[in-house]
Amino acid sequence: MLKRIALEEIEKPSYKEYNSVIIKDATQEGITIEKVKQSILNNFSSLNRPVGIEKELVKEVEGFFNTGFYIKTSQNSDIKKPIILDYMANEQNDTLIDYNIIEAEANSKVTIVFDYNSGVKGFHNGITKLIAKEGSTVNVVKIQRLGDEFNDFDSCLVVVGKNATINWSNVVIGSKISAFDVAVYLEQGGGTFTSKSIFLGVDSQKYDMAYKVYHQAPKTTSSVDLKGALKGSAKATFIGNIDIKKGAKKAKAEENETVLLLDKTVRSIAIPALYCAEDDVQANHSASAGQIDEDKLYYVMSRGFSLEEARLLMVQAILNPVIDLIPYDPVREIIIKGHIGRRIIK
Amino acid sequence: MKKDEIREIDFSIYDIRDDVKYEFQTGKGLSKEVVLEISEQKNEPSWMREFRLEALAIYQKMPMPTWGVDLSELDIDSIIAYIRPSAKMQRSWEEVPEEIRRTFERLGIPEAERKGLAGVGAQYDSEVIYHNIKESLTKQGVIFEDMDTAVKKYPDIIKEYFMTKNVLPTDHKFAALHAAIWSGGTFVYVPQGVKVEVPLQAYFRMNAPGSGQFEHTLIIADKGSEVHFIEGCSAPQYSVSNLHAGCVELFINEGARIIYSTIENWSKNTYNLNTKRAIVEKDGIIEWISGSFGSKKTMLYPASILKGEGAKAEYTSVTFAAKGQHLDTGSKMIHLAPNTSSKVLAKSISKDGGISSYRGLLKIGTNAEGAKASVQCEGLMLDDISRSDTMPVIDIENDNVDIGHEAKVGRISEEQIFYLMSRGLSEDDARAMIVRGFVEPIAKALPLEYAVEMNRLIKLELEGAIG
Amino acid sequence: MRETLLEIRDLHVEVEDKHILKGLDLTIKRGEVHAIMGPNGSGKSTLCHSIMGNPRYKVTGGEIFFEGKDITNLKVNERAKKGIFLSFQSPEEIPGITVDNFIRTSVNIVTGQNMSMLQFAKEMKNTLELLDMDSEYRTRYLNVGFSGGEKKKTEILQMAFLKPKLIMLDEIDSGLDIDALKVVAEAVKKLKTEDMSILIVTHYNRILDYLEPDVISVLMDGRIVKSGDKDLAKILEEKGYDFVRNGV
Repeated sequence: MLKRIALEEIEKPSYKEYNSVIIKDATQEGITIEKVKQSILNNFSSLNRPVGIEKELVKEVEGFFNTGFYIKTSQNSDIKKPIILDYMANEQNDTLIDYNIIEAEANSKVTIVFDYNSGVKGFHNGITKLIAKEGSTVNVVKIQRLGDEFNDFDSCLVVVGKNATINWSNVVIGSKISAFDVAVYLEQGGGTFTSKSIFLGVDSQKYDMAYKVYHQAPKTTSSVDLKGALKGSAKATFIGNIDIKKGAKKAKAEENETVLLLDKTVRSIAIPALYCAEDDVQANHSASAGQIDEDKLYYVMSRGFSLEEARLLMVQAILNPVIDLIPYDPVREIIIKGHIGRRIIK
Repeated sequence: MKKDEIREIDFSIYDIRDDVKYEFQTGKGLSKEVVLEISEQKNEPSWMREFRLEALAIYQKMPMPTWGVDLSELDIDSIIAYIRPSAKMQRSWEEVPEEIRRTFERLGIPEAERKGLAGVGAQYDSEVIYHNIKESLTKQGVIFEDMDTAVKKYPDIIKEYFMTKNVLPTDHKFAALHAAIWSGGTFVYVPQGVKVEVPLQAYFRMNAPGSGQFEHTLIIADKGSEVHFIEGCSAPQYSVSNLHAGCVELFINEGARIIYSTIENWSKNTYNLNTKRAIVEKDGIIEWISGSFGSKKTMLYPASILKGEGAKAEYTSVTFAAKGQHLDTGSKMIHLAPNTSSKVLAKSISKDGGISSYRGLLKIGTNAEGAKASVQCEGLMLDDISRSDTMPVIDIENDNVDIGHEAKVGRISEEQIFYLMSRGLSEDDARAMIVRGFVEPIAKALPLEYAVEMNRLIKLELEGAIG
Repeated sequence: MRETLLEIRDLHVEVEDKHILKGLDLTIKRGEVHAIMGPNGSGKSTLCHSIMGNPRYKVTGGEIFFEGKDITNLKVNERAKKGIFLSFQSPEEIPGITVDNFIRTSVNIVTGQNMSMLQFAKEMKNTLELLDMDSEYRTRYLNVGFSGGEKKKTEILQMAFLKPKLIMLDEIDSGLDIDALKVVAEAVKKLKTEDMSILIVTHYNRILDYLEPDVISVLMDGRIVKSGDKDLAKILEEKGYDFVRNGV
């Protein structure tokens, strides 16, 4: 009924090298980071499962990745400083095809930030696979603030082990077309996946965002929260599947989408599906869409804000709680002051 | 009157197969010959015959739906398209042949008519065998006619409205099928400003094994008028599958209101692939109230097209899927005009491996400034071998809207059961009470007798007495 | 000497694998008002639920006798029919079922006969007045959207109709302001007949000012450690539970 991002619309670039990535705080005790290569990928056949927005895109990354890392924590390690992968595109490096593997060993703790940024025109297509073993805690922040003429695709696979905890965030602000797909397998008891994510679409930006959470084991917990704002003729599609399989007793799942509609010409599509094959569960989803509450605008304006400033404030009010989760001050500052402000007040 | 004081209905009545003689039936399967035979048997005007043949061509070209329920076991070619009991349509129960009259008496239809219905139509397999309306309504210009008669009596209206501007034969395969071989059903016209105080009822009964029922309901509510239409459906259980592919077209003109209530209890080998749609003009109101209990597979998505400014739609439903059933239902709310509003409350119960699915669409078009819509889905799972799925689509093309959607799935909590048992209820009674409370919003919206009937159906389903 | 209504012998109860009641003995006479006091977590609510027969509270040892019959293995609804009533600390919400409908169903089941509409309406009117409740409660869904105080009053409303032999009030005073507490306590007092016994579970004294207990027992660490007359409440208030614990 509703097609996801149509590939025929997208101009596919020819193969090119990519050499513009900096990793911040790569050398810390308990963690190894190396360039990804086929021999490493071969060790992760357990992660060969349905992933991604579209088969063609996934195949492209598998066959032609030109960057990406294999990040591995050692058992019981507590990686204090966040690892920041700064994929900074530019005119020479405008074709970014990354394949990343994160392997968190038992009881390790780590925070990893992917910051896809800069450039003007270009193409990003990536795969990130995360395997979190027993008792580990992995925080992942994916920031997409690429240039206005980028096409961006990101396919993610998350496998959550026994009592492991994943805290996930997508921050989607850039590109002309941007699509991500996060498939989460809660395949062992006590696993938790929490996603707090935001998007801001302006002008003619098109976003396509999907979370597919599979509860396969008892006492697994998931929470997907997506908030965003649309302005101009921006369009956003949100697919949120909660799929509680037989055997996932006492699973808890929730999903929430809130969209602020800032112009008459925007388009918002939400498909929050909930599949349930167990009775002893708590599962709910909700979605809401509408304009900024007029009473709130009035209140803020009574304190001297202009209409535009008041609107910006209200947009920030829903985006900031997630931006605050970015564990790297300079990026946070740029997003709040630069990206968001610039897009809302023109 | 208190609800529990109504006489209890014995539900074994649904399962009694009547030994009725059939005067005519088409062969199995679908062909031009079959369609022509139906048309000829009905002695129809040529325009309707042509319409059927065009629809047949569309049907033959269209693919089967690939989503929703599994239809791979449905063999349309083995379904008898048209089957006519040896009975002429009557306006008095005394003249209805005894075996058929007995069936409807068991179902309580004549009694209900005496008690409080403005008009009753009763269809037995393909043909309407009884149709009657209170004289006072006829005097006010209300038309309540079986569809076959209406085609001949009101050709201009039927020609204008029959699957031409609401449901079209090209909409999907089963709409085309319906258009080609429809038989029976009801035509209602309520003139401007007329408020029909008591409900009109149509009761559809499939009796012959391996047959199909394809009744067509067309209701036109003129400006400022009001009517409540109730549809009851049942069939006895046979080893071969039956097919029900009815079609309901509602036209709600400015300021008019239609309440359309259905209690569906088809036998558990029936494929229920039904199409219902309402077009609502300025300030008009459509209220769908729907209880789906029977059938093997159901695909039913009543649509409300809010075409005029200020038009309103409500959809209140309960779906109970027990053993061997997959009931895929939901509402389509299409907002095309400013200040339109819609409200969906969809409840489902799954038991003994049954699958209930909510599949809905909420569409806010670019012109629907100030639209308000809320959707609430609640699934109650009674065991861990059943399924409850919710698949809503929310598509918004305007910013000046207020949209909310909520869904949840759960089961009856042990604490609730204990609390009720501490007041003396047995565990089964406690469960039944909680389920009854769960469906109360739907029961409340139904006329008394139907609420009682629905609660009885739920009770029987909980006890596993049906199917 | 009044006859024994409830007798508990050496009761052991586990909740979610936690041993809560550890050999509790308790006797309540017919007509007696018996208060159980004790610090938080001592097992007061567990005692009520064990008497009521909550399956989550597993009896691992001991017996409960009601009117001389062993009810230890009886189902909760059977106990209700025998005349045991628990006013829940946090009553469940039952959407779609009105207060009226629920109480009528319950009364008919417990008494085994259909109460006439007329009598029901009359009794309802009187009891609502007694509890200072508006008649609109009759058509509201049971406990749905009720405040804490409204829920407690609705419990007493049910009690009035069921006319139990043993009334257990589990923290009836929580969630009630002073005025409402007075209304509820006075209502219970008025509804209590000579034959009815009351078991009050509380850690405040205020309710005891209204419903003067004949016996006060102190529950600590899963056992009744001390019993006495109503003066015991005052001593507890002044000296605290440590006074009992230290065995002075």
